[in-house]
Amino acid sequence: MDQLSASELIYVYLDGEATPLQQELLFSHLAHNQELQQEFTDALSIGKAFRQERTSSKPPLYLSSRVFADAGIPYHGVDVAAVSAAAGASWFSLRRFILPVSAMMVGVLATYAALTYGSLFSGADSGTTASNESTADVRDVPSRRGSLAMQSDVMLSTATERTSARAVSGGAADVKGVSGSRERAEIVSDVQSTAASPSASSEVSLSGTESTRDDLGDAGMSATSEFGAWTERRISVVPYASSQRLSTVRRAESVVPGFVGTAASAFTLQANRLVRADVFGGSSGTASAGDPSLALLMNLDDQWSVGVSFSRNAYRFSDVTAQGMVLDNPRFTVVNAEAQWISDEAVAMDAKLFSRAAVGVAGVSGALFGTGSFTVGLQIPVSVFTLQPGIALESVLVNSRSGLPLHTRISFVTGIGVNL
Amino acid sequence: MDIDFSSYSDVELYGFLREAKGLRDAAFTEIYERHSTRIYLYCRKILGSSDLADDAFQETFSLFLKSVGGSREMTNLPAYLLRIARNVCLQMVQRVRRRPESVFEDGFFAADVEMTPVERSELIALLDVALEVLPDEQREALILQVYEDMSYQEIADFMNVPLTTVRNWVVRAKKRLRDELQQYWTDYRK
Repeated sequence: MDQLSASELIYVYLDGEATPLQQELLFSHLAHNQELQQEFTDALSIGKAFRQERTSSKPPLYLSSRVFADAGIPYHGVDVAAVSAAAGASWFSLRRFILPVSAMMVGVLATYAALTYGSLFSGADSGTTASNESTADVRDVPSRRGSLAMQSDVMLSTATERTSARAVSGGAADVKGVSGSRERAEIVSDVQSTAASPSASSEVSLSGTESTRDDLGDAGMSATSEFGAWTERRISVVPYASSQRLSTVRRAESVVPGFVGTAASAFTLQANRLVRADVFGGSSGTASAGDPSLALLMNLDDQWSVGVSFSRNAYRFSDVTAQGMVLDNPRFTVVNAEAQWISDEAVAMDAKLFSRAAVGVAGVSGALFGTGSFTVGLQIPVSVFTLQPGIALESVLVNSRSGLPLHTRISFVTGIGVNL
Repeated sequence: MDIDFSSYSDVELYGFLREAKGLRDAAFTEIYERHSTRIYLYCRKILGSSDLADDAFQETFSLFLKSVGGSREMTNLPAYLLRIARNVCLQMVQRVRRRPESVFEDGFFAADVEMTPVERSELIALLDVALEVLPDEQREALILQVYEDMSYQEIADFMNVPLTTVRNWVVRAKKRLRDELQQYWTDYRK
C-alpha cells in the first residue's frame, strides 16, 4: 500500500510521517473536497483526544500500592479505597463502644472542669492568686487576675488493640485591663503516647479572647459525643498478601453498610458575639484517637457564625497492614470553611434549631479531596445546660478516575453545654 | 542526606537497583514515577479489561525487578519495560480472547451520548471502546503510536515488521476508529 489514498494521507500527515510530496498531494485534495475536509477534522479530534488521555492517565493508587507491596518497597501514596474497604468491612463491635464511652468520660471531666473553674469565666472572685492586683479596677469589673486550670484524661482505644494515653494540661490567665475589657490568654499542651507504638507529640495552642465587662457571662464549656453510622456507597476490597501476588483477588463493588462508633470530646470557649474556638479531639473506627481539630468562628450576629476549621486526622491501617498493605499511616489534613445558623425563635418549647455547613478540602499525601458536611439539630436549654442533639452528614469526595469511593458518614451527635 | 533522583538518567537509576536497599527503593520509585503511566496505558489499551490490565501492569514491574540481578547492560529502559509489558500482555491475550464485530449498534449514541457540548473525555471513552474492535496488530501499532509516542520506524523496530506495514496498520486503525464513531460524528454535527 505504498500508494496512499488522499484519505489515508490525512492520518500519515497528522502523525508527522508524510513526505513533502505527500503533504502537497493531500493539500491539493483538501482544497476542494469537503468530505475530505470533514475527515481531516474528525481525525484531528481523535488525535487530540488521544493526546489528552496520554497526559491525564496515571495508574490508580491501589494499583501502585500493589506494585510496591509486591516489590517490598514502602509506598508513600495513599490508597483510600483500601482504607474504606477496611472501614466498611469493620462491623460495629463491642470494642468500639469503649471509644464513645471514654469520650463521654472526657466530657464529664470537661464539664466538671467547667463547673469547677467556672468562676474563671463568670467573673466571681474565687480568691485565686492575684498576680497583678495593682491594676486599678476603676470600673468595678469583677476581679480575676490569674488562674490555672489543669485537666488530664485518658482515652482507651481498643479499636486497634492499643492503649492510648492522653494528657492535657493547660494554664490560663485572665488579665483585666483598666479600660474594662478582659483579655484571656491560654496555652494548652497536649502530650499523647501510644503503648504499642511509643510516640509523643505536643502541641501548643494559643487563643485569646476579649470582651467587655457587660459580655462576660456567656462563656462556657461543652463536651460532645458522637455515635456514628458509617455507610459506603461503594466498597473496594483489596485483600492480598504482600509476600506473593494473588492476581485472582479483585476489587469487588458492593454496598457494605457498617457501624463505626465515633467519639469526640470538645472544649469550647465562646465569648459572646466574638470568637468561638473548638478544640476537638475525636476518634472513630478508622481515625486515631486524639485527632486534633480547631474551629474558629466569628459570630456575625445572634444567628450567624462563620469561620474556618482545621483538623488533622490519622488513619489507622492496622486492618489493612495485617493483610499486607504497605502504607504509612497517612494523615489527612482537612481545611473547612464553616457557617453556622441558629434560629432566632424557639421552634418547640425553648429549643432552637441550629444547622452547620462546611465545605473544604482534605490533603492526603499531596492529593486533594473535596469534603463537605451538614449538621442539623436542636439546642435545648435545661437549667444551666444546653443539650445539642443533632445529625450530621459528612462526605469525602475522592478521585473517581482512581476508582476511589465516595465516603459518606452519618453521625448522630449529642452535645452538652454549660452556661456560666 | 536526601538524594534527588530525578536528575539521574534511566540507565543510572537502573544501576542503582543493584545497590543497597535504600538506594534501590528510591531508584525504583523514581523509575516508577517516570514510566508507570505509559506502561499502565499500554496494558489498559491492549487488554481492555481493567482487571487483566492491572495484573499485567503489576507483573511487568515484578518481572522488571527480577531481571535486575543479571548482568544485563541497560541502554533503553522505557523500551525494555515496554517489551516486558508486551510479552505479559500477549500471554494474557492468548488466554482470554473475545472481540466483538462492532461495538456500536444503531441508536447507541442517541441513547447514551449528550450531543452538545461534547466533552472530549466522552470521546476518549468512546475511543476506548472502539479500540476493542481493531485487529490485534493494528491496535497495538496504534497504541504504540498514540500513547507511547513512537514513530512508525520505532514501532517497526519494536514489533519487528517493515515500516510500511506499521504505517498501513496505523492508518487503517485510525480510519476504522473514525468509521466506528460515524454515528457519533453525525450526531455531534447536528
